[in-house]
Amino acid sequence: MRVLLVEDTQPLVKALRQGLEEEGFAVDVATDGEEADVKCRSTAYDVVILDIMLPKIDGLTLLKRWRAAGINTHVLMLTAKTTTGDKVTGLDAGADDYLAKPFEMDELFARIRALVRRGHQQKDPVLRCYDLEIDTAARTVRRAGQIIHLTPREYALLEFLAFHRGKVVTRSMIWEHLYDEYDENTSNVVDVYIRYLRNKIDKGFDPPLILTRWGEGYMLRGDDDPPPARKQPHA
Amino acid sequence: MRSIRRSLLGYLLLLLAVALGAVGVLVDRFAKAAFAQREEAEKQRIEERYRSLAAEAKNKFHDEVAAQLKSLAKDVQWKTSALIGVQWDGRRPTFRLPEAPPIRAPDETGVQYRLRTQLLYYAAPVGPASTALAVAALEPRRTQVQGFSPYIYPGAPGWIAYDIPRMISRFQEALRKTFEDDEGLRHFQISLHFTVPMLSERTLVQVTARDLPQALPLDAAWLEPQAAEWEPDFDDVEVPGHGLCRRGIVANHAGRAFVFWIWLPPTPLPMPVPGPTYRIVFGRPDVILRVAVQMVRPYSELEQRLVADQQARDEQIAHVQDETRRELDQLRSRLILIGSVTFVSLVLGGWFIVARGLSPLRILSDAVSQVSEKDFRLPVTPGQLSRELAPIHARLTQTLTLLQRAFAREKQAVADISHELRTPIASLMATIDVALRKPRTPEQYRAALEECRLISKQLGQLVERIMTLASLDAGKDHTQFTLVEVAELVNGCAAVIRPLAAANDITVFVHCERPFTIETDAGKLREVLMNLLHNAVEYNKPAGRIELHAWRDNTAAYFEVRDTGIGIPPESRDKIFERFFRADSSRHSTGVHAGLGLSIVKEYLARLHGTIAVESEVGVGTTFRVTLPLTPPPGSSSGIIPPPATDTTTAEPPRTSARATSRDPALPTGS
Repeated sequence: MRVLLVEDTQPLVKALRQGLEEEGFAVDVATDGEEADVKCRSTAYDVVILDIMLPKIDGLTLLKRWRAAGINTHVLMLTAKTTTGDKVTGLDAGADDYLAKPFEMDELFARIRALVRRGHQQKDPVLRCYDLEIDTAARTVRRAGQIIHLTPREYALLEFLAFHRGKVVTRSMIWEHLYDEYDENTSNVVDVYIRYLRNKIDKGFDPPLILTRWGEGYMLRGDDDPPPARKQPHA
Repeated sequence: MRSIRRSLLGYLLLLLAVALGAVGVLVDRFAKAAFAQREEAEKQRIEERYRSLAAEAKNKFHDEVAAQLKSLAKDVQWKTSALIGVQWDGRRPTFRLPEAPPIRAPDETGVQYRLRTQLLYYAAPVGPASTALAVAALEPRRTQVQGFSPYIYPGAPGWIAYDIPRMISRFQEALRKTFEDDEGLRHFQISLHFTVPMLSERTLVQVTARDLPQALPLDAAWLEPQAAEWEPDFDDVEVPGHGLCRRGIVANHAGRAFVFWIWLPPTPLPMPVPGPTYRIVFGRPDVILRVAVQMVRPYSELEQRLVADQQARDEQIAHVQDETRRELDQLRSRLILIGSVTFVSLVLGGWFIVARGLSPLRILSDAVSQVSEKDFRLPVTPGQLSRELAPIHARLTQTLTLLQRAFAREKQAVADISHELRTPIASLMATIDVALRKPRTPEQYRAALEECRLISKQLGQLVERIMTLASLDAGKDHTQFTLVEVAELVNGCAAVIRPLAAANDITVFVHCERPFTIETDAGKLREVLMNLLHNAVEYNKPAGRIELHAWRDNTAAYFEVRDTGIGIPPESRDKIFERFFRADSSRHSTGVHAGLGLSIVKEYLARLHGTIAVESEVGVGTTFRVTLPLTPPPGSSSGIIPPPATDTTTAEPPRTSARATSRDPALPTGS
């Protein structure tokens, strides 16, 4: 999941970026309002973490502009303004959530996850696909009751596929949502991670869940896709 | 706490009581005087009336005496005339009117007269009825008749009775009638020479001569016949047993008559013989009857008559006195009543009036009690209050407005402080949280700790500044004025700021051509300059410049900090010295000022008796100019003599060059 962090306090940016990346988020940073505006308009972020007091353009103005322009990205206000009036103002300006500084890291992550789920009309934190269970809260994956260990990036890829279960996701979509602005876009990095994932998810299990749509991309097997009658070894 | 209502009422009532008392005393005194005057006049009038009554009574008394005297005298004269007018014509006595008596000297005829004075006395009982004292002086002048003397025949009345019974009886009757006319006249005596009771019948009692009031002084001159007929003389005389009496005396010739002497021969018979056995001797008219009647009436009778009037007078006076006293009492009681009613009504009315007068105060007090931290407005208009309270209302409104502003400022400051503190704390927590999320290498921990230290340092600086301002606000700060070498201080500041400026690719220039000293607080001045320099770095553009000028003239020292930064928009120029205000409402990488730097500058300069002015052009740069007195104003510190003034023209900085330096587009610091 790709997150835009709009914050001008350097130490906080540093800490948040590290924490988010370790949680498997792809993090873009903007340190003033103008930069944030440009980035938010050019990229479809899953969540924007927005401070209010920003150089050049303050967060509330920015948010109103985005909403007026039809940008429906989920926005979490993260600010030192703590009064109820400030929260009401922020939420009424179009924010989806509001978190006051200082905050607990876990709470911030939980709220970001909730916003991501909301973005995919998913209430249940556990995503299921046949005998695969992805617990988005605990970030654990089980297949047939067996715990499967994934790297953060593998997990992020699986989660992204699971959110779009039964639908084809293109490589560029995967790229856009799983990699930040500084990652080098090499042509086969997505395919490499798909292969890693297949090795951990589908190997030794039946049916295979990660399907390849040639010329389009990948998809997680949905309920509309009946499992093949016979076992089909995967290339 | 004293009640205004009570004290006002108390003073009012005190005043009222004094006024009422004074009025009451004055009215009482005047009324008393008026009543006394009226009483005196009334008394005089009564006395006057009494006196006139008394005079009238006395006159009447006098007139009565005179009238009685006259009547008595006439009676007496008539009687004596009658007495002496009886004449004998040879056969029988006839009456003849007395003739006018010839006035002759007693010795004219050479005949020896023997003068005897007899009194015809008539007395009434002393008492309320009149007392008449008639004295007739009978002056018989008689010829010595041979052979007998009237004295030889005392007590021989019988001849009258025998000889002329009718006349006698008439005489007697006349006498009686006369004297009995007056009620209560019961005693009388007529004495002729013989001291014979002429009438002894019935109530007549003989009174001997010694009972007569012969001792009454009688001026003989009065007995002389007077020119006018029956003109009485009056005098007052003391009558033993009767006190002072009014006496009237009238004297006249009763007439002259032939007195017929009846000679009564010695009778051979042991008893008088009936029939005329006497011999009548005719003589010359030898009796001149001079009648003097004196009459007294004691004044006690008048006084008795006046007793009633006196009593009436005394009663009237007493009545007047009573009435005066009663009216005075009535007046006093009315005064007391009016006073008490006035007092009571004024107590009630005063209570009401004072309460009414104080009602605006109550309205104001209610309004003030409704003021709260939520709403500083005074919920009352001056129109609802009295004119006297308008200044209080105005002052109160003013104070409340100031208070509201101060409160809002304080609230804002607290919010700002908490806001400013929250961000570094959030950074700190986020850094620590991230570091603790999973096992790290020692290098990673070290990096996290260094990050934490950096944040903590910034936090500490922030707290330090807040505390500085707080202590300045609390007035705990003390200013130490000493002689300061300006060039040294300015260069020191520049030396401190240069590394930071260099890190931002900013050049610092210092212009302090002539060294000079001023008397000020070095620490505070350095703090002021450092703050300005920090701002100049913070808001400057990359590759910008900072100029620091210091010079002086005869009156003051000047410090100027110019930068080529983003500038301050005109609408913000008044706000930059407010706490937590930042020109671009954002946070910066250095983060040490937190919008407090210029506030601290302002506070310090106020203590150094200096001023600060700002000129700025957006996108070009900002100039802060600090003006400090060469010596602090008297009374602010210990006086240190400043060095003599130097030439000012040489100290003037090159201003034009400073203007030319800032032309880059505005860009804030930060990454």
